[in-house]
Amino acid sequence: MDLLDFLGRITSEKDTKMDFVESKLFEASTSNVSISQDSTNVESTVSKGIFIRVLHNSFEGFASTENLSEMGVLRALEFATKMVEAGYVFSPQKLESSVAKGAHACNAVNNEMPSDIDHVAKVRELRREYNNVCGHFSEGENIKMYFSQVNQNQYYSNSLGKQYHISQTLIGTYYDVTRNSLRLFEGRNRVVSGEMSSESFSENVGSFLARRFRELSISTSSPSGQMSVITSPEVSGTLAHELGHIFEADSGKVEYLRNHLDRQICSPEISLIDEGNNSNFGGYCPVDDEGVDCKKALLIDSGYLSDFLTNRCTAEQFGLPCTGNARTDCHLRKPVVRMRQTYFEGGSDCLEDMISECQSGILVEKAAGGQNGPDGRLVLRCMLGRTIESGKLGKPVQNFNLSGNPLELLSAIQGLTKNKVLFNDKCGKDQIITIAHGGPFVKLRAEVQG
Amino acid sequence: MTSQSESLANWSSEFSVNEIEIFKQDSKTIFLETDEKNHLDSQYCERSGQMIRCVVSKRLGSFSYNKGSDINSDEKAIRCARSLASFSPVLPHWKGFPGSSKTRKIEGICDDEFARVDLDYVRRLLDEVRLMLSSFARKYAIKLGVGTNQIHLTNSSGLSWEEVFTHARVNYTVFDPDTNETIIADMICATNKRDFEFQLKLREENNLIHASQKRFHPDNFTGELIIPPSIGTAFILSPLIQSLTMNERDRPYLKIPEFMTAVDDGSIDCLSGSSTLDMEGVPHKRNEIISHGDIGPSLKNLETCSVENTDPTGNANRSYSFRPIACPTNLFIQGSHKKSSNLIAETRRGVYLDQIDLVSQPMSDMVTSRNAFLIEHGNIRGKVPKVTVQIDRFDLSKLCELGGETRPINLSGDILPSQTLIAPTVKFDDLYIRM
Repeated sequence: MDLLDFLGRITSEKDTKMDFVESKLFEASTSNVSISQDSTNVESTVSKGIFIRVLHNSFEGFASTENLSEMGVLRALEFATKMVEAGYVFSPQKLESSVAKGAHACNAVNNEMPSDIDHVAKVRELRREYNNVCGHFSEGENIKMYFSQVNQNQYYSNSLGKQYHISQTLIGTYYDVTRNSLRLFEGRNRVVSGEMSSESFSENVGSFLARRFRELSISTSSPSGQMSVITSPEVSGTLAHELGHIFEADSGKVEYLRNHLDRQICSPEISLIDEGNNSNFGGYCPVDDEGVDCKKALLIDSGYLSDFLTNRCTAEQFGLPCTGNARTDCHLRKPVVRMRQTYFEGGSDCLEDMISECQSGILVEKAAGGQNGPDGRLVLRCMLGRTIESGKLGKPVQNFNLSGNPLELLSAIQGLTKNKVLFNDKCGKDQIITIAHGGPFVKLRAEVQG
Repeated sequence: MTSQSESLANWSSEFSVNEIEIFKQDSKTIFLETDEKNHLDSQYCERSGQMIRCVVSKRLGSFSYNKGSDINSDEKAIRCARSLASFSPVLPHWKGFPGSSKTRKIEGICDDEFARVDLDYVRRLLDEVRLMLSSFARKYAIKLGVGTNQIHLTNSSGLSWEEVFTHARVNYTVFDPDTNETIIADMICATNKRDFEFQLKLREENNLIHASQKRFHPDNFTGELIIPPSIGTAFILSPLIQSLTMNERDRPYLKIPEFMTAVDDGSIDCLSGSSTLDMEGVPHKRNEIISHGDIGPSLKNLETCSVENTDPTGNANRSYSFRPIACPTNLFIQGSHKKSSNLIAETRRGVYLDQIDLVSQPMSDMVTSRNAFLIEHGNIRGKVPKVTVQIDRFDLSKLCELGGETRPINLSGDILPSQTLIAPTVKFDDLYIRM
């Protein structure tokens, strides 16, 4: 049976009684390869599961199952309906108006099925790349390579007639280089949607890793205190993403931030954007997991706070436009407000001037994640950087944090270079999903904790 | 040999593999969540799948799939697993899957009350938790999850083992009704209802509620830090816990105080790491893993012991979609003879972190908490709004004392658990505490 027909049948079954019924089926085949000096390991998984969500009279029911027999699916539907009928779940407001926004005809993106990987060819290719990388290191260094490929199909249908099918392949390559207590973990993800994206590493991966490992091995502790910081595009992306969390309508900060809506909160050179239309990157989301078409969200438009990220419920709750940011990683969990591809637009400065004008500071080259604490304080964990002294790059430094209040950090941005770069990454807000983030080089004042 | 094991033995010759193992898993979980405004949220999740592993010339291949997938026969899955075995490294000391083993019923697993997991049952349980909390709090939030997990392990060596695990977990937060600030946040994990109620009552006696009425705003200072058994303890000790399954070559350098001793034991009753066998069918045993600050041989599964030519320790853990890895089961960190109240009484100036913020950065050593209390001259003075402390978790030399009372903490993020840390209160000295 055609999967979209199958989902259509499920979602139309209760439409006479319920305000809104939606169903999404996730189908994935995954291959993980790990390679070290003396071993190769390959694992493979095939999975398929479905979620059913019912909204009615301000109540919500959610159930997921991997039992796709008619009995299994009907049991899940019955559970979701039962929770709604029992008045079991509360969602903030009636959803009629936002539900109507989702009504569209079929919008199939791609019809490819998950393909089986030719493991023999793939392992041969990966071994070749691994040997190439090892050639850049000496004997005392232990190198492991991890490769993962997920071929995923997503089928969606709701009771308003919206249906779509997205096919995507996610590829990740990671290297773990260790020598005694020194450790470098570098990875790149890429997304293949019909055509290959650009190379995951910007230069030869072996020489890139060797250079970074050498810098790490001679790096020292960073200085601490308030200082000028220049973030590389990769770190700017992490900063953009962590700042983006405060604009998520379920973050608990909307009521506070609304006071700043349409007001200037930072330099007019700054624009912070979230969208999901670039199929070559993670976070590609032309239609979200509630069947809403992806809208470009201008979170900060030339220094003015102008938008929030919403799903159906939060859009209705706060009286905001629905931006199509409802996302989930798989059938097991409810879609919640998530970012897609978040980035700073380019500015007008150049990197050389930024460095030469800095008397004392740090150029941050690599971040290892960020955190948006419940107290509203943002912390970026930085792995590697270089000091800047009297307008010149100095010694490498490692393991330090950048922190500050998000709005203060935004207002502390002093300049952005012209060209932005996007990077694939993952975000772990309750559930781990692929996203992209990026920006140009960004100069700001921040607190550094060495 | 059972009929299923006989089928697997026959398939071994039919598919030209030395050994076959099938691990089946069916699980069901129900979550109910109520926030401080009494809004309710819920979720139901049903999972069902299996993993097939084949051994071909001492190479181990695994393939997993679930009930809804298009893999519609065990034979097809065996062919996939066999093909993947050819990529795997040779396990030089592979001794085979374990054969039949006498299993025993562990008290607390498959408690009848929890085994009947349906919406009405979980709703009644939620009402009981509400009733309990409402006796001492006016504003609270509860997240309750109850799950059953049925596994069936069969292999061509003759093992056939089936077991049902049922577990519950409740996270609750009590708020100040006026300021909406968190007063207490805690997590309870239980394998039966009796245990569940006992733990809930224990928290009723928490005298921190009274201390939270007073607020302090001290400057940053260098002092002591006390963390009761909680998810915070698990966070602080996570590099240590992770290193217990690493071989000596890969183990990071850790400074462990001499007074620390730890034992791992999956065979004891009533804890979420307990089962009659490990997830590869190997009987559990008591493993003394840290003795007076020295880490002993690592905890192993069949694969890692086959590389190092040692005996398995009964520490394999898995789900149908993840191949077995070595994990602690019930890991006891031995406490001292001192009560936690003595640790507080002997503190000149420090903070008591009742709960750390769950967003504390796992990659950094930064711990933040909004549930912290100022201790001065041996007394809890009152609540401080927010605390941040940097602790080098690989260097526990500033860990100066352990308390006497221990408490189980669920280490797995899921309702269907497998690992428990049983830890005492920990006390650190000479830390810079930022307010």
